[in-house]
Amino acid sequence: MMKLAIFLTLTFTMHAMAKSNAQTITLDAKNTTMREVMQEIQKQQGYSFLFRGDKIADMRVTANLKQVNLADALNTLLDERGLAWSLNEGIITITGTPLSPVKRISQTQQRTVSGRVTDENGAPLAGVTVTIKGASIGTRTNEKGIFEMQVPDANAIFIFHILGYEQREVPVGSKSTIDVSLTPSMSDLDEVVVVGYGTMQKKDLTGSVTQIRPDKIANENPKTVQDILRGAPGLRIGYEPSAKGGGLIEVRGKRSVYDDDSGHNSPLLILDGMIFYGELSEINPDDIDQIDILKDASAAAIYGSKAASGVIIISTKKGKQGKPVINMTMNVGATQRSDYRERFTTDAYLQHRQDWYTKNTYGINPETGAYEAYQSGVYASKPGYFMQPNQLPSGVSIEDWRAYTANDTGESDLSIWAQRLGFTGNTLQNFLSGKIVDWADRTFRTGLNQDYNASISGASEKVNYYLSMGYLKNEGAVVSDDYQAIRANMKVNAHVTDWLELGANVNFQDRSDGNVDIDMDQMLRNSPYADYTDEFGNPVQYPLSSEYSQRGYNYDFQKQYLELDKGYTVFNSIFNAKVKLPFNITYSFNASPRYQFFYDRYFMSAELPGSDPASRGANREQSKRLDWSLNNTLSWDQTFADKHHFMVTLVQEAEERKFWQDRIEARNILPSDALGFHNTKNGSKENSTYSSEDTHQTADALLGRLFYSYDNRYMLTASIRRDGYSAFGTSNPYATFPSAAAAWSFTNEKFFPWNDIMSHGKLRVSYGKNGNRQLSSPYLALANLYAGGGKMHGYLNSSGELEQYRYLMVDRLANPTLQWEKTASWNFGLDFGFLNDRISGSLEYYTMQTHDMIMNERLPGFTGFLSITTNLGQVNNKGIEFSLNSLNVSNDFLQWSTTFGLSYNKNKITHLYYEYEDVLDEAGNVIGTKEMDDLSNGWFIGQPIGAIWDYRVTGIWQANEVEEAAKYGQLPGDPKVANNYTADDVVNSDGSVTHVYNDRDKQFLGQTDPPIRWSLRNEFILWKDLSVSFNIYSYMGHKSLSGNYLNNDDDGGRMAYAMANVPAKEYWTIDNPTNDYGRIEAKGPTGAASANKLYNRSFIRLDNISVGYYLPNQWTSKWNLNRLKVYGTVRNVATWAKDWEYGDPETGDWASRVYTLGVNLTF
Amino acid sequence: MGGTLLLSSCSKSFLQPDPLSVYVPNETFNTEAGLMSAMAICDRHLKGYWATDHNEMLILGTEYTFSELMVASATDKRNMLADVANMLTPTSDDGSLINLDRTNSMWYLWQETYKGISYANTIIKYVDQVEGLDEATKNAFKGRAYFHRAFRYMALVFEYGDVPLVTTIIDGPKQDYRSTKRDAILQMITQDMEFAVQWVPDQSAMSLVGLINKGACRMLLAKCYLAIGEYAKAKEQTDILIDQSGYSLMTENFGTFNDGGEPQTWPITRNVIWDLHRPENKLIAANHETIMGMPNRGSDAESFVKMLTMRILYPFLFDGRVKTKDGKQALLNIRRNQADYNPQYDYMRAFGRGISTFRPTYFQTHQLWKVNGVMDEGDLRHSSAVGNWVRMEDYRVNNKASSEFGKPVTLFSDNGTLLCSDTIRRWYDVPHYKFFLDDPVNEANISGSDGLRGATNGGIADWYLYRLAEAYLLRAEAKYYLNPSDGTIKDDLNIIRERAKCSQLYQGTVTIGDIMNERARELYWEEWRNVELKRVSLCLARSGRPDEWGNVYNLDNFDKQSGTDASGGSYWYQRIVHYSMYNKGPIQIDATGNANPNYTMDKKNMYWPIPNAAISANNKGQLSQNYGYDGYDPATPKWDKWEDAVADEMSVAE
Repeated sequence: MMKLAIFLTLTFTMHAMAKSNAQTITLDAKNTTMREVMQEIQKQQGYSFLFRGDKIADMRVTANLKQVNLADALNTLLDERGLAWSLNEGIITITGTPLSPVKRISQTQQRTVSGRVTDENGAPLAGVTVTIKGASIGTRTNEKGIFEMQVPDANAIFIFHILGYEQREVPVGSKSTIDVSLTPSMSDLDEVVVVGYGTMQKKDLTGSVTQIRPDKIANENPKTVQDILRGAPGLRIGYEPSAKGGGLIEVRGKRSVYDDDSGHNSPLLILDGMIFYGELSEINPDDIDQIDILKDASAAAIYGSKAASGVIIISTKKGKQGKPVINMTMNVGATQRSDYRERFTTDAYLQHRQDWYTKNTYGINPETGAYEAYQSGVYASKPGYFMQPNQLPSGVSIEDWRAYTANDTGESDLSIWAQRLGFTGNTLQNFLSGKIVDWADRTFRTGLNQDYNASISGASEKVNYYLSMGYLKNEGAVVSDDYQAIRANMKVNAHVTDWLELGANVNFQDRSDGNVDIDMDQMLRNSPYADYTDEFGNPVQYPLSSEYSQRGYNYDFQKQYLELDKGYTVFNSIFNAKVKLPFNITYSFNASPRYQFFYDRYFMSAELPGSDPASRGANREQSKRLDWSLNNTLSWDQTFADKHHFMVTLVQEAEERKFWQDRIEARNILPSDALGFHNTKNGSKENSTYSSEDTHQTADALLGRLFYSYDNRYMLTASIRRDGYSAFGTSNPYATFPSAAAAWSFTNEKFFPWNDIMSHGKLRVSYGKNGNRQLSSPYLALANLYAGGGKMHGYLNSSGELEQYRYLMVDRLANPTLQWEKTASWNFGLDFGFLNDRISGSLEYYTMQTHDMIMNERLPGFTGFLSITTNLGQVNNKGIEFSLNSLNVSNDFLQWSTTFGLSYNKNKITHLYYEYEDVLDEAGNVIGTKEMDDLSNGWFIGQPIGAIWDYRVTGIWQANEVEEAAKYGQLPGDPKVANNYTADDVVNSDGSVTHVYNDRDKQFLGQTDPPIRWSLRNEFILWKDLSVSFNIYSYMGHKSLSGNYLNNDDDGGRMAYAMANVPAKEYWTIDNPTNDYGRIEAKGPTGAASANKLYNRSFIRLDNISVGYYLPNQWTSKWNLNRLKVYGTVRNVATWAKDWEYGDPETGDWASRVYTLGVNLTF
Repeated sequence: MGGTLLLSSCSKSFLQPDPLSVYVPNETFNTEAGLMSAMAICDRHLKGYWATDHNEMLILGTEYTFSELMVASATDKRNMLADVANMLTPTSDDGSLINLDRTNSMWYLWQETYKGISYANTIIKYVDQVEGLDEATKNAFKGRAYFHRAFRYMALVFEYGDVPLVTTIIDGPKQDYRSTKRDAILQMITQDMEFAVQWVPDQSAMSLVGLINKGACRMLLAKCYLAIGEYAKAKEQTDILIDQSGYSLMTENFGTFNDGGEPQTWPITRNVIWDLHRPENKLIAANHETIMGMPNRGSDAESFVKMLTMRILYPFLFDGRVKTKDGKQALLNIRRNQADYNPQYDYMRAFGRGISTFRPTYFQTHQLWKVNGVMDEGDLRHSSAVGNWVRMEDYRVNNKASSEFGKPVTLFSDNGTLLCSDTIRRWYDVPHYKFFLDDPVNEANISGSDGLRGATNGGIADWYLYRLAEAYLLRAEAKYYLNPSDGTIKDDLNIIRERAKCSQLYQGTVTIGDIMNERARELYWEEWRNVELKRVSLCLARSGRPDEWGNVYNLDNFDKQSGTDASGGSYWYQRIVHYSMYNKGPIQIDATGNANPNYTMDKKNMYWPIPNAAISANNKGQLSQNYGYDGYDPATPKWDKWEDAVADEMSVAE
């Protein structure tokens, strides 16, 4: 019965417009439907109504009210019909069943029962409707969750109901107090989903929308918005181990080959209804109420910009009616490295040096024919030259060994050996005295993280407010990595009159941006036998003494001469006005100016010993951005004959983005640079530079959208949008994007027989076209001239003096036809819920065709242009997404829920330049045509964007394959590379064959983007107040190439001149004949000298484990606290990689682990 | 408010592109100042060929390793380009430009050269739309642009053979280029240079030094005439340069005397050759020999391009692989702030801290200087006595820990043991008078500097483009092709030798080899040796004149042969097999990267492979690959006439 009631619920989602007790209601109804009566009240008072129950809306009412206040009016209208009403967040819910006279109960038997209703965590729930089953009476809980009600008899059953929670029935019995706790509803059908320029209930959705409520994962203490999103099906969230965190976002695969760090393939962000031009760090995760991800074309088509890449809508929290709520969270944490490329231990370091020198002596022993050390080169006559004196091979006496070099009298064998390995100066001394520096300790640390947030929110009848402030200070795992941000959010909404509502939302952030960074690789690369400090304990400038020509790097010394003050100050504001017009039409105006101020003050002191003052000094950069967008929206929401629900939305929109930047680089500051970056004036003109860069871009759009639903069974959405953008302004500024979607809630059909098993089911289909305009610069369609490094050319004038001229180079080819990139896509979806929605989820299938793709078409560089930005080609994506939520166990002791997400995406380039070439058979006859690949960009028809097309390394030449290796110009320890096409190999006059490696030998080896991603989250709530959860996610099926196995260790003289300690690893030697790793400084055959090896990058990450505990209410209430929660979380707990061994499998480099402890207080 | 914005945003002009900090060509190249900005990059770009590539490279090094005069010597790099015959392929050098593992600049010489052509084409395309420019000025601009374009095509056709001809700034994408034949391109640039010689003014009529002048145009025109076989016309141009243009060889000391940085270590006896090659004297009015020079001075942040001659071209000596007889490191880099400092042995200040990316051949340091079978001791260009030339034996052991302190370093110990274990990189002579450059920045900062590297962040490093001495040598060449038995050819060589105070002069008739040797002696690190050798190879094949060994070449096949044997190939290849270290077998050294370099050069390396990246980016057409390389197909269509190539280029659709 109640199930049915939910489905029959009709809603008016129109927002509350005004509320005033001073306002009274005047009404004259004669046999009018309840719906019409309530519409009239809505007109007069601004409330929305929600009918909960069968046929309530169609009940006939006759009443005559004159200047009656709302409560009286409702009581008059509803009481006698056995209906109850409740007011919550501006929505009046009318519930109850028409009363049958038989059940009328005399008042004499009544007694009073009271109680307290709490949520699953024990926090009081206000506004819960408490009714008696089968009776007309009801009440609501107050702010403390307390209710009190007259109960007719002991057989009565209380029904507790509130949106978002499971309805609960409790027999009253003889008890006089009944405390209950409600569990959140697994069914989120009633939840309001933000669909752009308005909201909808989830059950009405026709598109593919994923919703996330951060409060549900609050125990995990998400550091960034990305942390909240990670794991959602269809989303790819990059991983960023730094103190700041974050990461790139991609929805449903790459639409386009255009990839230039402009974020072309990442989704459009919408904050509280307006385009958000900032970065996600500006939004405090604590302030987010919900996030809606629009994944299919129909949902996204109402947006322009780069909606084709998906849309993420973030809605911030707002105040709830009742007394002000103060919420505070405090988090303290620690960050450590979880993975990095560790360096050799000292023993392995010495062995590696020895092996590095010995590799050049390898050769064939003329006596045995075996491939051995000390057989070639200048050490052929000095067996064991680089070996430790106590490990000499038999046949080499220690005297012979010593005599290889002219040694000082009395010199120790260890010293002789060390010198042969390149030790001299301070490293020799340190080696002999056993002094060691652990450079990893100087590079990494345990960083302290602090995150404090406080908010106060509340709402009166006219004003709703939410104010928050947060301070974040994170230290990364790398010594130089610090990040801090202050964020504040001020949101106010006011009903000025019953027809006008005004709101403002100001978001402020001040954040640091970058540090005086350590060069991690250089720091770690220092020899363990180098010096970190001098005899006084001060960091030395050069870890290696002057005998070395590359003297290493000491961050702790360098940083004393560097200073950086860099960051952003951002004001993001949203203002809206909503005017209620006749005929259920609402007009709203929204504007969102955003100011961003950037400052970069950097100082490089010329005091740095040995530095060149002409290249030292101060940088100062200031930039300002003003981005605004505005829209005028008309919406009409009407239901006819109870079953026909129409929503029409019309939008006009405009955007303007302006940017101004100035930069000064003052150098050689005289007479002194003691003022640091506070003085640029005294920089010497010839060494200093200044520059500016301003941009301006505009966009506008018109949008129309129609939603129609019939009887909650059939829903239809159609929209059309016309978009213009100034970067395409030369000839094609506009493009039109239509969409349509339909949905069928088949479980609402009368003939659907299995409602008791399948509680909810909806089929969806949508089609639409989206655009993408994102370019790395708004001027790419225009030719421009480039000033290079901004230097000059000097001529000598007649008096022999230098006369300098600025120069300009033609840099970019104009493309007046540049236009919108378009993506057309289909989406088929099934939403389902079983067993009263204890198991629910969705299944999606989509296909997307992106055409007129914005791409950098390669041009022959000899034209003077390397590429042109143009629209060509087509990329198809198709995929499946599956998400499942289940409540596995639910009892008073344990509640166990699981969320599982799986997505598969197949990405394929189907067209590039629409240029065809002949396909030839072996005899050279034309047997067809095929579209040409773009080899230079690595784009291939029929292959994914991230296709890996390269040589295949099949193994390593072993010592007994010297001759075979020589045919490829290689040595044992070098990689074997598949020579797939041999017809072009050259037969030399002496009969030998020169194996030719070229593109014809390359093959498809896989792709770099993971086609499969899955995530799994389990949450256990014990005794209702202790929750434990863990999250796992995994990327599978992607690969990468790496040259690490070639052990290019010297790389510019690091081994020879700088005693480098390279990352610890395995490598081929005669004594370690592995088939997986090359020798030190291995190389491929001629033409494929740096052939990389293929690695499977699949991995599974235990992303976090969290524990949260609500302190018992009896304790917290003593301290006047509403509730208190303590929690702890570990992020990036463990990672399992299938194949990758050079650092973290996701970053390909280092990664960090974060431990957090937090406390959350609500007053 | 919404309504107002609604109206304004709907007007068409709202979406007009609004470039704020962007120079749009049509609105920039419509004034003389705008054009001058295009000229400035042409001139700066030209200078770049002599200046740095990356920090361990000089672009011109590639021109010399592809000649008989130098080889690559960065023996710590495993991929050092030594085994050229096998290592050089169309894809071997596709990598990034700033790649320290690279020991050649071929990719740079392709890509940057075409950039230079596009800079020149910019002037040619836009000059006619500048209003208010008189005909003479307009044509002078055009002539200078032609010079820049011709100079680069001259290099391209002798480095790469048949290449795509680009003569304009395209208006839209074009990817269907064909290669244009070498001789067709030579015909075009000859015609362009005739125009340039007519319109570009003499230096005497110009206010700026460093802008292309008539003399430079005449020099290039003479080379064009030689290349297309118009030897008489070439001789006529050099006659004009020598007799009618106001130039004369410098024969006495002049200008400013630079004492060479540290006279206590390495004293210089002032002489005309030293003065002639000091950057501070190259472009002064008193220097009558300069036809055209490239100013390179000021600060690194402005117009200076650092010149790493001392870094790249001096032997790598401060290293344990040069030992004393008692087993110590022979040469230390002791700075002035160190206790052991002794100004008599401050080799870093006197000679810099070389890393030897390229080294000269034994021919370049020794055999070349024999004339008439006699080592010419007087030749100032090879004179260690005056300080112009530095031999290894001139260094003295400066390691106090050695008993040999103060004595000359030696290659062998008393019992004949080799004391230098990597003689490729650490044992050779240097023409100090050419390569020494003041390094005022590091000089002022000696305490922190780990070595003078030649001019790095500033100073004066002006370089010669053309000197009158080369005009004599070109005239000698022209005379040789016209009539090898012309007795006056030797006079054109001897006048240069006399100036260098040589004791040996040429007698009777001379060979092309004598002329090329004199070029090598006089124009080291000024001329593009590889390009000149290949140009002469063409001249010999075209004229049918014999080389110094009596070989005669055939125009049809001199540049289409392969192999590494001693016979055949072009004159370029013959010079290499006779005089260089190539094709003489592997050498065993103590080096961490390449311990047994095997220097090889193939006859097919006459032309470098067309980079695969250029071929694949030109995906609608087919560029021809050169003979002997993967992808060579003689049937690939090419433009025989430059006019056809230009017409094809102009037909590109908007």
